[in-house]
Amino acid sequence: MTQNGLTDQECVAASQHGDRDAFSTLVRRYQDRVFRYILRMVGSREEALELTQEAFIKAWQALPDWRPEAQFQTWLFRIASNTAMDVLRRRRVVEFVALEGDDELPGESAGPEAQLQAKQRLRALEAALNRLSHEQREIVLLREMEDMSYSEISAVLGISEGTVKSRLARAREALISYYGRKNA
Amino acid sequence: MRDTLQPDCPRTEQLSALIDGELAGATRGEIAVHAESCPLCSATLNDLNELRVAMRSLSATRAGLDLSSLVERRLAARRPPERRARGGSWWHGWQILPSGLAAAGMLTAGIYLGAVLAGGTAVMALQPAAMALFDPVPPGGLCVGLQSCYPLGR
Ligand SMILES: [Zn+2]
Repeated sequence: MTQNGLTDQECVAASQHGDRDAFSTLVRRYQDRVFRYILRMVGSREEALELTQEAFIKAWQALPDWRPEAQFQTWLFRIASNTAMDVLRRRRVVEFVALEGDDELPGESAGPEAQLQAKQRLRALEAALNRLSHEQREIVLLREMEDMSYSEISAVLGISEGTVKSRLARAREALISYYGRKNA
Repeated sequence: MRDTLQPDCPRTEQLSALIDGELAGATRGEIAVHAESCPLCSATLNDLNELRVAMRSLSATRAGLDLSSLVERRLAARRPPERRARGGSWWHGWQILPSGLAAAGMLTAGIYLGAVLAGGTAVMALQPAAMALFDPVPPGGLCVGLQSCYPLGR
């Protein structure tokens, strides 16, 4: 990504010297991805919007510790993952909640019937995701939604690639059993 | 799923890695050839691929507003992140560890006062005021300053 003429690494380096414009470029570049990841982890849009900002503020605070050998994407997602997990850990008992709102559904150009089906499939997928453990949910989101490689996921979660491989397979098995072939 | 596996069926782990393109050449070939002729494995591959397609729909979600101005406003109240020019930056990582752990470490090492004296302004500047909205304890598990946070072998 070289939007604004700067790569991520250049933006981070400038941000490390206190350049908030460069940091804002990074926020704009990653806000949707961080938001949707946190949203699928915590379930509430309002909370996800707040936590996304929080994750970026934590990233700003941690900038002195960023090293050029770290990919910004995985470094940022590590912070986002910790932010979401921290909230989930403290939440303990209460699990949410289907997402409200009908926006962002696939196939908006399709007819009403197809849209309804897409909506039902999405709700079923959300319900299945919510039945996964937090660890399973985050790994499947990083792989399937964020399209990260095993090596990138390993950097985000701080686990070996072997563990990525096995945890991801367990998560997918569980998700398929909850989501089921009925939605296929 | 996969409750009637044949003896030579690969584990789901291998099929899952296959669709991710994360298997080495030889293994990839073997497993792909097996899956083609095995109804159980091809059904599993099918399930995995359908799940993938379904999950793709989640990627369309957007925040729906530009958070950069909100983040910018919150950062404006702070100092820029200070690069610790002075020698002893080794303790800095503790600031973003769970506070209990950091405090325990500092007390154990008996350097808490020293750290505040040496880098007190940095400590103050980095206090996440916004966190107080949620919890007086800074969110845990952040260890971005530590070696283990970086990809292995990079
Ligand atoms: Zn088989």
